[in-house]
Amino acid sequence: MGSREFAQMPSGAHDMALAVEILLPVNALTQTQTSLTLLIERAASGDTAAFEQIMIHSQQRVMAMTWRMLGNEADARDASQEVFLRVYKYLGRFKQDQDFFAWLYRITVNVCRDLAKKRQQHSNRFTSLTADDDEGALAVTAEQEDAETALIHTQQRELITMAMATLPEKERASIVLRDVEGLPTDEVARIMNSSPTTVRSQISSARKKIKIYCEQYLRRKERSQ
Amino acid sequence: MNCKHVQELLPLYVGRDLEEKRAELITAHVQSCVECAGSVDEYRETRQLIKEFAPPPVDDAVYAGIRHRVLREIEQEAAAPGLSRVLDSLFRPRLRWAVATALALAVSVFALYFIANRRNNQQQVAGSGRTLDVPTSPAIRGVDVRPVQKRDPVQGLAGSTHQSLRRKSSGAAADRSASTTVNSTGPRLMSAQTLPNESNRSEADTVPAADSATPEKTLRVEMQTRDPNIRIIWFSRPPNSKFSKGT
Repeated sequence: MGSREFAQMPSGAHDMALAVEILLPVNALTQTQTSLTLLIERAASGDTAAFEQIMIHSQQRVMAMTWRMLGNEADARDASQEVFLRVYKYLGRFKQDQDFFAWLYRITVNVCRDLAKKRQQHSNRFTSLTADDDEGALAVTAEQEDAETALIHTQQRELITMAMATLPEKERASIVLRDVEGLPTDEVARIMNSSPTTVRSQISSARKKIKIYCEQYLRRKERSQ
Repeated sequence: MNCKHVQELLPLYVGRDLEEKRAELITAHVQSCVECAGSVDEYRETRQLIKEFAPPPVDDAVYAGIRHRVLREIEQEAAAPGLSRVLDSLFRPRLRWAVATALALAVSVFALYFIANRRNNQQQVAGSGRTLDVPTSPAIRGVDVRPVQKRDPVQGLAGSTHQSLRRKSSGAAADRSASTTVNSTGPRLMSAQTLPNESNRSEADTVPAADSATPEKTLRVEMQTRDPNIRIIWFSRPPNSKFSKGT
């Protein structure tokens, strides 16, 4: 996989010729995009094997996004499953000039919103990491980390999870897409089917609320110690 | 820029979500204000915390389980009868408006048809009794509504027209008592001139005895135009009959 270029010998050399083969690095991104485009085409025409490859390619992003939006693994699993079913269903409408992952995020946000609506007690179910521990699937990799560092990470994760749970749904989606996924505001606005001004307002509000929540939490913790 | 204004913009400032000019103003303010500089640090820490908001590692078995369930459901849907797929395709976002419009149109047409049919039935019920005195446009000389015998539309039309003309020439006064007449308010499209020796009341034409005895009734409306040689005759039947109208 690569392109070859041959450096020609100077015209003065006549009996011998030297060919230098240079293997240029293949643009990994272009290759990935091309293969993804092909997979999408094949999956849209009903090739389930191709669709499985798409799932493998995007499952981590979808799972992470649904977990961030819903806050627990059980809901994140259900949502991820629904996301992939919708992706397969509407793959025929996906335009090749679109960004696949932006399209995927849009579906993910919609699925999470629907699931949250379906489960009225969403805020109650937005559980911390410790609540998922008994399921075993989301095992904390304490063995891999120093115990103290692991504890700090766990506490931070717990804190931010709780802070995220206090946010309204749209603010949570905006902040996850902007700050965690690192998408530009315009892209977030497109995914959220909203305007950049509205998204900026949601992001500003979310950052402010999270900061206040963290401050209050740490203050309470200091008092209790 | 005062501190209050800066504090409002700091959440966007730390994420570089502000325009360049505003960001520069805030940078200048923060360099000279200790309190706002402290807030900037706090927002940066919070943002860093948000960035690290990642789910704990997920087992491959979880992903495999999700994929397996998705593929199984896809296979089940593919094996299911096509009705649900047809319905799904009908309610695609692109077609949704077209389907909604078509449904609204169908409902409107049905409602209009129902109202019109109901009015006709009422007229027929009234027409099967006696004459109804309804105000008539002076422009219309007369409108007759009567039951007629079932016959070929073209023949029936020609026959009745000839009968009317014949009766007109021979004098229809004797026949009026046997006719069923409704002065309709409906047709006002014509501008026929009122004849000097006739009043505005409708002209009652005779219906042959055999016609009135038939079980299936046809509503017949005759309208005299300005030209004495042209008369518009409109037939209407109940919806279940083979032909509903003719002119």
